[in-house]
Amino acid sequence: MRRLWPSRTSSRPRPDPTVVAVDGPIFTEAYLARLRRLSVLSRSTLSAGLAGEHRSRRRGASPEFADFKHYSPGDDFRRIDWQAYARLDHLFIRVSEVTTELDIHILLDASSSMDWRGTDRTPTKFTYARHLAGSLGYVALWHFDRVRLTPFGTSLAPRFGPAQGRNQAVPLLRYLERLPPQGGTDLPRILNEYGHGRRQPGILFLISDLLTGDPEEIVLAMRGLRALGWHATVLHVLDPAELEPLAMVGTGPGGRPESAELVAVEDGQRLRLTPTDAVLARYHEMFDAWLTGIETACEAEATDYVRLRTDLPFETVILRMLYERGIVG
Amino acid sequence: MSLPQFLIPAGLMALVAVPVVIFLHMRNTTPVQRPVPTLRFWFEAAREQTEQTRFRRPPLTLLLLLHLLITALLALGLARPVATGAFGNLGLRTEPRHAIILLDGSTSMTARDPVTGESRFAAARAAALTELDDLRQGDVATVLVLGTRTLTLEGTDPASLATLRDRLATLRPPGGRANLTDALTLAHDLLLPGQEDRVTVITDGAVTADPGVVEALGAPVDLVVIGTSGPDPANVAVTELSARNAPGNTNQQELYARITNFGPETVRVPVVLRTDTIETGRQDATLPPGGRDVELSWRLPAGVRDVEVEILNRDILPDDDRAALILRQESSLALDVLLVSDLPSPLQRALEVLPGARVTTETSDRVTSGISGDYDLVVFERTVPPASLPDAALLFVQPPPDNPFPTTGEMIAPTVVNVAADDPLLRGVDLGGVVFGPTPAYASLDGQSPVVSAEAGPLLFRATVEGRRAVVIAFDVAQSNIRQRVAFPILVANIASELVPSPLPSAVPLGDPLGYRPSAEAATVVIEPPAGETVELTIFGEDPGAAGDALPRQVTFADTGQPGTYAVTERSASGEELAGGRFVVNAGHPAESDLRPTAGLDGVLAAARATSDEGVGVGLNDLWPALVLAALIVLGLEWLLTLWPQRRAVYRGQTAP
Repeated sequence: MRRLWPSRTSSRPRPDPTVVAVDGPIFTEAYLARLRRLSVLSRSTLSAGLAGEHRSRRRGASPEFADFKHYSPGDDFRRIDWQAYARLDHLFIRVSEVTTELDIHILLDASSSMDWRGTDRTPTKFTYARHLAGSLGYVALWHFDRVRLTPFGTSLAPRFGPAQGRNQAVPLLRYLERLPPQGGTDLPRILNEYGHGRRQPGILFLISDLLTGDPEEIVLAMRGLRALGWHATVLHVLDPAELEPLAMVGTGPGGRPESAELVAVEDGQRLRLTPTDAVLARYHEMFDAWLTGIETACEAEATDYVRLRTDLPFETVILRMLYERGIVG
Repeated sequence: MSLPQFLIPAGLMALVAVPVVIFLHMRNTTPVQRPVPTLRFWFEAAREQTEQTRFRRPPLTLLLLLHLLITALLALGLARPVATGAFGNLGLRTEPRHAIILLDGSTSMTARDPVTGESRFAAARAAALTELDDLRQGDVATVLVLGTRTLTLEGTDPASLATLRDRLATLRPPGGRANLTDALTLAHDLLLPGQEDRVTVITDGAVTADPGVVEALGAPVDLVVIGTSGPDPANVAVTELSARNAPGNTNQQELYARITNFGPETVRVPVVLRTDTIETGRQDATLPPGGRDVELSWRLPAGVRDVEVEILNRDILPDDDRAALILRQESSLALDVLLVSDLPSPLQRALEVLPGARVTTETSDRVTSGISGDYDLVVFERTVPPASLPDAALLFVQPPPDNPFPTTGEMIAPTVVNVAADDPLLRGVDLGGVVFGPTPAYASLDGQSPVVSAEAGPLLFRATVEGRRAVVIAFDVAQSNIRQRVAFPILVANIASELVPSPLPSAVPLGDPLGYRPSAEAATVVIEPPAGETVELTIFGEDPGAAGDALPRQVTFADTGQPGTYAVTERSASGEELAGGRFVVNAGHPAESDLRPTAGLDGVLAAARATSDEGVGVGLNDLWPALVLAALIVLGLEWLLTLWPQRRAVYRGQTAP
């Protein structure tokens, strides 16, 4: 199993932190330090429970003054500002800002289709996804958010968490390190099962290649999550070879198309074909339509959608992308 | 250029693999498996592709063409194609080769190229080394260096071939005259069964070969001609030099020189005569071209020991521009003859032409009291010997009756009735038709052995007189017609050769063996050539002083290929130096000084053929290694075109479950 964080005793040179290493530790100290400056952002008032580090729209008893409001029956007498009443002859209630903690749910696709890569110069989608999940989890734990990381295949696998506190960061990374692929998957069912299986909704990060289920089924699942109060973000992991199918099939001498037998890594289905220009054009057409369908469905369901390519440098491109999308801040 | 033929035509049956290859290419083989994350897009994209049939039309692909080419090359290789000529140069020999190289080392090969200064022999040696470079493991090489003596060098394995190359690289030409016919006969005896014998003659072309010997050789002959690329080489040579007593003055000699111009143009050259190293004469000779000659003569002063004639002309073979004679040996290695005769007859001339003979003639009245002087042979012609016989071998010609040989009468017209045909005295002597005049009938005594006899007595017999060996010619030479026949000087030479040690000749023709009879006390003869190592010859033959039919003590020295002066020393068994002398070998010779190649030599040698029992593969080269090599190259090309791009292709991911 590949290590995801640096060894204290390792004398090997540190890899370039700007890319996801194909081999060796991918969480360098510099990278973790940069992660520590980030936090997971929430666009809604989903937080509850213990006080945390996040500013919240919730108002309540707190030393942090936020505003005044007119007294109305039922308000706590103890929060009436008597000095304002003496000056203005009206009863006002002091409203304070409450800092909250976030419930971070990370659903990690661990299917066999994720455990694939187009070239040996890029990591597998699964490695990339674990890296992404580890980064988000690390950021959340560092800021005392509550983290649940649940890998899934055809069913939900034993999860990590809920965990809170910085001392849970290393266990999280170790958990990801030991996480094996899970085989096949049924994403719509998994989303539905996970959404209904939690009493308290939270922020949900879905890290997957979304290769199971039609966009329409995923839309329905997303809609169900939204109805339950979840705020979901889809992190779509793609291998560059999936965008360039000729590279996936391979070519013969002189770059001419060569017949190949394609074998699906999840279910073992086989297809023999010759990647002619017409076939490749149709592949592009269908793949693009599928991507567009996914993106449109997420937009329709107010779900954040971020497409990530495994050949993009992680720290400089992906974190920047997550930052610009308001996922981390 | 001959087309290839097949030693194993059945191997062509392997060409059935060609349609098999096409059949295999018609199959829809299982393509390369590529794991992909999902097939959901591919199913729809490739919906019209139906590559599920088992066969298809033969695909005209480069891969198929390469496979067909490889198959065809290997099938042809199995048929073991062989060829000669240009095709044959592509292959390897079918049989191990036995290269017999006849390297001309004659005197003419010492001619130097007028431009490069390289001798013909050096060029021939380089050509021979090039021939050796073509040999491979299992080949055998035999080099025959032709000259006065034939030097044989052999190489049968890589180590000995390397040694052969080393020896050949430093070899000096033996000189003399090359006998190509004898060399070809020797080459015939050297042919090896089961090997591809090939004879290569490397020469300047100034040799001849017997067509019959060439045809019977049993191996093909390649002719490599050296140094004849330019116009006819201009060479002027002293091809003959001899001396004889001047008519009417036995104390003086006349010198005759034959100057030959082998060049294409008439030349006028100065000719210098040196006697005892001092220039004593000079003539300008105009020499017609084309091998014609001019004879020059000089009368030599008395007492001259050495004489030399030199042409002051620069040509490519300077060795034959001079010739020398040793007229008087400093030591005892000469033949001093005393002829006691009151009326010298043809016998005197026969004695004078003996090699190295110095003939002194005396009348009988001057020797009645005895013979003073040291002579090797004393000849009494119809004279009574003195009471005190000299200490020399004796030849009596019709001695007076009863003195010293008793007679029983006279034969008026004797005829030959008994001849000891194998007697050395009669070697080369034909007595047919010879008539004899009145001849005393000498009595037969003990110790006498007749060689030629008539009815009443011997005509020629051996005898011993007071312990001295003698030969008696019973008939009168002047009254016999033998004096007009060549048999007579031969008979006299045979008698002299038996009775006395033959002297060293004044000169030996280039390449001719030197033969002479050393003194009785000599056990070895040491000969020091003008260059090279000294040769010590052990003398075999009859014991000193023994009488009878034993072989004469004879020394034969054949290595006379180097022009110049040879020193000869006789030594006793104890190593004591007994006598010494010199002889000269002159380079000028009609056969060697003519540097023009022999016309038609290549045609004569081209008649040589390998015999049918030398094997089918003789002269043929196997082409299958070239075909296999070509197949491997095509295979490599196929690999480059097919496999290499796949190795560089993008890694397709993990193994399918």
